[in-house]
Order: sequence, then structure tokens, then C-alpha cells
Amino acid sequence: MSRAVGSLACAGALAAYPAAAATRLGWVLAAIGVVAFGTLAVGLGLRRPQLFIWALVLLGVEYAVWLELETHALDQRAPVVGAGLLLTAELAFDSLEPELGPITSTAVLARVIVLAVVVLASVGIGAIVLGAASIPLGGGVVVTALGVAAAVLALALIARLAAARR
Amino acid sequence: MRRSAAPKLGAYAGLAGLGLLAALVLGQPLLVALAAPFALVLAGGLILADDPRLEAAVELDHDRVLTDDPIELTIELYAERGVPRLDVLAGVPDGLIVDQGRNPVSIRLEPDELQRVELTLRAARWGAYQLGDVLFRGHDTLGLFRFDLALPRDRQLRVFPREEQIRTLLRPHDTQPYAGDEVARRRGEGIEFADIRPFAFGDQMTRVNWRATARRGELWVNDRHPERNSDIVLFLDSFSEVRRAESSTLDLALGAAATLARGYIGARDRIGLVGFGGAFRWLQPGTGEAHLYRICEALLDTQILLSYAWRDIAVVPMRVLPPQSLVIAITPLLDERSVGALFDLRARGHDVTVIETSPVPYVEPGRTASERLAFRLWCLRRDALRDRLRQGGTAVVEWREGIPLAVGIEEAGAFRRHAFAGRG
Repeated sequence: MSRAVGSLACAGALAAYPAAAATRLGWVLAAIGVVAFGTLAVGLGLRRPQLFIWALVLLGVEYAVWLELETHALDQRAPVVGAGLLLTAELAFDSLEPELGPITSTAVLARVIVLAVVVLASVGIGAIVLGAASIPLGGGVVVTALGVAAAVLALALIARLAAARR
Repeated sequence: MRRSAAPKLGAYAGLAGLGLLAALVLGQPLLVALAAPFALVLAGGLILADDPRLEAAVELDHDRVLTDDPIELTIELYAERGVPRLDVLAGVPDGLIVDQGRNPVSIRLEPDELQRVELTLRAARWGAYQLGDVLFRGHDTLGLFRFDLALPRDRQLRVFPREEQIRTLLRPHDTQPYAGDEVARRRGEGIEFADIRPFAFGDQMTRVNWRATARRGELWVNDRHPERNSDIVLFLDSFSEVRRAESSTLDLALGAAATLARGYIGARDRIGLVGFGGAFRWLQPGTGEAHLYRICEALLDTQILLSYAWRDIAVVPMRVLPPQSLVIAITPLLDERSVGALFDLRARGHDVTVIETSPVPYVEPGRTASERLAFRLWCLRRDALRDRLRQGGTAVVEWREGIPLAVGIEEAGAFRRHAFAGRG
């Protein structure tokens, strides 16, 4: 239960941030946030992981819309938002696991440590992305092609790892 | 162990891909910052997820127990690599209750550490149980993969009905020629004094009763009763039963049969078994501990099988019903075929005693007046049936759950003493 509440709290914060920070069309962002929050709440209630994905996508969409509506300035809190999304997902998926015994403090501590490391690493990688994004480049086809190649490479690497583990 | 992907794996891959794609399409590099954590977890989870090489063994402390005895089920677990979370589920069949311990349970398994999961089970009902598969599900550190292992069901547990303590047993009218603990009615070599008679050629001098000889002026000797064994046949009616929750007339019958078998075997009598029902089975009379186990095993296999086939006592082989044996029928007196067999047995001269495992406590008298009337009529018909059996010389006792079997045995014994005295 506490994990579901934690997940909802994270989702609530993530939904509120763009809506609160928006200078225009805040109600649109708020509507998307509410739908995302509701989807997550329903997913947690019905124990449907598919709804978690939709909720996370909606939260991402809300953030992307806010970025589009604003002045294209780099949001310094993007790594935190990314880490928040991950924390929301982790807690939501954790809440699906059945309780099969007394929860020992050791187990709780171990899980908290894993989550903390993952979140910190996420913030770190987000910061790296933010740093890379702040490098002034002229843009153009070459940079875009490099970006596409990097994205494809990252996904291919993950797919390769997954295939090797099967 | 069999590896499978958790739902999180696909979800994170999709989210990471979608985020990267959106960043490219929208030209928003910050969206990569949203997708990167998911990609990071994916990459980390894929690198770290290794088969924990779990080894497991399941042990039962006993494979034969009595009803309500505790049974310790121990699951030993060992993994070369640690498992942050291992779910253990022991398949416990219906009839077995987990008294202590949790099932299923989640534990944390450290690398190279032997860990035990202990469950205390209790069998609420007799029978042969096969413990179900023991299932293990391990989760990796980041929860992207699951490792499943199933230990097949290869543990059998036989639960015998709990026996009651009885001090006296029903004795047959006649004994058999073999040595035993029962004082025979006829005279011969033995310990128990029977009578005195005039000396006859061949009598041993040690048997001379000198006091009677001195008084009568001629040699008189003591006669004694020899100690002989007897043949008992347990006639178990398995045509039908009446059940309520965890208790039934068949449970009562099996408890009584086990108690009587133990008692008679202890008295060096030979005991046989006739399972008279949808499935007909028998055991020839025998004695000794091994035979007791054979009877108990046969009792465990007893079950109610619906059958419309007419059976009578003719299907019972003659060697299973030895002459001068005591037939103890344990029956709810519900099926016409078993009732007919009892009358038939008595008509053929067998010494029959009926322990009726009464179905009356298992039946609701009903709410309406007509239902209550039907119940009363049913009870009256049962009384009439008992009287008919008694008129034929068969001892019938009604035995209900919660009443010691010894009470029924005493009641039957009293009837039989009275009947034998009347017979002269």
C-alpha cells in the first residue's frame, strides 16, 4: 500500500510541476496531468501494469507539451523529472508484487538502497544529457543523423543485451 | 531455473524507445533525460541479471502419521548467487493444514548460504496425500527478470485415522484352534480352571485335584479352559456416507476399524477386512504387525464410489469369512445392499455385531412441519431396522461422533452376553 501511495505522490508532483510552472495554457497541462494521475490510480487499483505505462507516457507528454509551449530554455529540473518518472514506475511495479511474508527491515533497507542508487544514477545521467544539450551546436542534418544513430544504437544495445539474456 | 521477463522489462524498453523517438521528432533533447533513466535501468538489469543457480530440496519428517499429528516440511535452499527476493510456494493438498510457518513466503537468499523454510503441517483427515509441486520464483536486483523453479511432487504422506483407547473387545462366541489370549469355552490344556471330573486314563498326575480326591475316595482331576485365538472380520460398509464439513460417517467408521484392528491384533487374534461398497475389497484374516499395516493401508484406500450394481454376501469369498468368526460390521445402515448383506450373514450362522456410525447427527431435522415429520419417520424406520436386526440375534449399537467407541463396545458386549445367556 505504501508503495502505491508513494507512486501516486511522485506522479502527483510530476503532474503538478509543468502545470504550475506554465505561463500559458496551464489548464491543458493540468488536464493531462489529472488524466495521467487518474490512469495511474486506476492501474494501481486494478493492478493493471498496462495502465502504468499509459500514465507514464501521459506524464511525459505533459512535460513535452510544456517544453514546447515555453521558450525552449533548458529546464534545469529535467534530470529530476526523469528520475521522478522512474521512481513512479518502480514504486508502481513494486506495488504489484504480492506480500508473501513479514517484511523484514533488512529487505526494506535493501530495496530502499537499490531505489536510491537507481534514482541517483538517473539524476546523474539526466545531468549528463542536460550538459550535452546545453552544448551550443549549429544543428543541421549531421547532428540530427548523429542523434538518430545514437538513439538507434542505444535501443539496439538494449535489444542485444536482452537477446543475450534469453 | 527457467528465466522469464517481468512486465517491467517490456514497459521500460517501450518507454525508453518512445522517449528517444519523441526527442528526435520534437527536437527536444531534454526528453532524452526522461528516457535515459529507463534505458539505464534496462542496461543495468540486463548486465546484472544472472541465473542464481538455485538448488532446493524438500524433506518431510514422516511419511506415515496419525490424524492431527504435526508434520514438519523442510525446504532447504542454496544459491551460488544471492537472490534479493525468492518466493516459495509449497503445494499443500486439501486436507492438510499449515499450522506453523507461512506458505507462500518471500525470503532473501544470500550467496553461498544454506537457508531453510520450515512449515508445520497437520492432517485434519485421514487419507493418502501427495504433496504438490514446490514452486520457487526468484527476482533479480532490478526486478526485470524472474527465475522459476518447480520441484515435482514426489512426496507421499499417508495419514492414518487416530485410534481410540479401548480396554475391552468384543469376543466371539467360539474360538479358533490356534493359541491366543482368549479363554475358550471348551475344555483342554490351559490355565483357567473350568471344572473337576473323575480321573480318566491318560490324565496327567499334575491335574489331580487332591482335595476332591480325598473327599470322594477316588481320583478326580481339574479341567481347564485352553487359551485360544479368534477370528474377527471387519465388515466396512462403503456404499454411502453422510458428511458435514470435515466429518463424516466414513471417517467415524475408519477410526473405529483402525481401533478395533489394533486391539485385536494386540490380542493375537486374526483379523480380516471386507470393504463392502462400490469398490469391493477384502483381506483374509491374518495376525501380526505387518497385517495391521496391510489393514491400515486398505483402510486408507477406502472411498465412497457410487455404484448401482447389486451386491450381496455371495461375492465375499468364503475364506474371508472363516467359520466361528465374529463379524463386526461398521455401517451407517443407509444402503439396502449392506443391510441385506448383514441379514444374510446372520442367516448363514455368522456371529454378527453391528456398530452403526449414526448418520442422524449429520442430518438437519428440517424447518417446516412436513420436513420434521419426514425426519421423525426416517428415525423411526431406522429404529425398526435396528430392532429387526436385534431380533435376529445381531447386536446393534448406535455410535455417534464424540462418544468413545468403548461405550459402543460395552453396549454391544452387554447385548451379546444377554443373547448368549438366553441361547443357553
